[in-house]
Formats: sequence, structure tokens, C-alpha cells
Amino acid sequence: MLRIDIEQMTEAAVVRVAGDADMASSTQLREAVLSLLENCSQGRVLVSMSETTYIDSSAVASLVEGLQLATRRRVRFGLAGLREGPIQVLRSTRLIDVFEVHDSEEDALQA
Amino acid sequence: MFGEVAVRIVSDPKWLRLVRGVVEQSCLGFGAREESATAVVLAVNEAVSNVMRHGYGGDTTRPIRIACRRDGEMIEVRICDHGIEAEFLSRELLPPDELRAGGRGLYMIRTLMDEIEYRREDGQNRMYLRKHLQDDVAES
Repeated sequence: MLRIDIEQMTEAAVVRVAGDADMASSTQLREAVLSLLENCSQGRVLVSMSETTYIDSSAVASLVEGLQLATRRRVRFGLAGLREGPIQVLRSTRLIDVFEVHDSEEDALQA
Repeated sequence: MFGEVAVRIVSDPKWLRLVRGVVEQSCLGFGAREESATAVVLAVNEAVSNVMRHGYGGDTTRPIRIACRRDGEMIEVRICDHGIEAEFLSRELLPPDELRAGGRGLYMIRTLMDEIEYRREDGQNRMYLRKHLQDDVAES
């Protein structure tokens, strides 16, 4: 089960992801992140993951695609509030240092 | 005596969550620490996803059996299916930090597990994923 909410703020858009992002549901994550970035030519997109309980390699692929598109569109792209499980996945794929990672959504929006 | 815990599912991704839960509880019941159990869960999730995506080509009706057991100081998970022969074990590992979108599942399996064995027997794929428990609790 995956729930995705998007909040558009003045200088940033926040994608809040709750639940398990695996092969059954990561398409939702991919579509949400990419469609948001397609309509954004500057500013910032933050994926808030404090309620994300699981990610697999397909969810990681979605986040990587988001980072690639954000770079092309000169949009700042970051992850916030990662739990231990998703951190372990990003470490095991050696991508933890590739993303801009913040402890919390609040920290990220102030950075 | 630890016995064996097994679950049989059809190849629909909606059952991955159930598989993760069964594997995690089995590992913890067999005396694995949480960190080791999490590693096994991540690897098994990727292996079963590979069977669904590549072995069965997205057909959500085919059988997959996942069995966990403790073998001495090792947790062993056996994944059996009747999909096409798995050739992915011969692929090269994805170099770290390469920003390619896909292809990280096998990398995760190989880095998280201590041993991987694959057999093709009688039209069936059998993958064995093993994790050593040297630093884990010996008895549960």
C-alpha cells in the first residue's frame, strides 16, 4: 500500500510518500515525481519519506530518474526524513551520497 | 530444532509484502539480529521480484515457493519457480554510484547475502540465498 500526497508551496513542492514502495507500487512514485518535475522549470522538489516504510530497487530507480530529470531541468531535488530501512537500501546500492538527504522535511525546507 | 517456514504465492507483486513479513519473522525466530534479518528481507524481495518480472514476464498467476530455514550458523532462503531459466546471475555488477535507473536488484542481492546458489532442475529454478550468523544470537 502506498499513499502519495503532493503539496505545492511557493518555492518548493513536497511529495509525501507513505507506506511500502515496492514492485507493486513504485510506478505510483515514479509517475508522481516525474509528472511534478515535468511541470517545474526551477525551484525545488522534496520527497518526504518519514512515513515510507519500505523501498526496493524499483523505488530507487524511480528516485534516480527523478534526480536525473531534476538535474536536466535545473530543479533542486532532495529526500527527507528517511527511516532506517530505506537508508539501508540506499547504502546497499551506494546511492546515499548521490542524493541531497535531510533529517526532516522541516530541516530540508530551511536549508 | 528450528524447522522450516515456507510460503507459496502466485507471482503477483501484491504478495511481496506478505513474503517480506514471513521472511523477517522467520529470520528473527531463527536467531538472526534485526540487521541481518533486514538484509535477508531486502535480498529475498529483490529475488522474488526478479522471478515475477523476468522469470514469469509479468504473468501474475504462476507459482513461487519461498522457504526459510536455519542451517547451522546460517540462514538459508530457497526460492523455487517454474519460470524461464535465470541468466541474470552471470551479469556484471553495476558499478557503484552509476546513475543508471535500473539494474540494482541483483547488486543488492549480491552485496547483502554471503552466498548465492542457483540450480535449474526439471524445468524448475531454485535459488538459494544464504546469510552467515557469526555475530548474531546463536539460539532463539
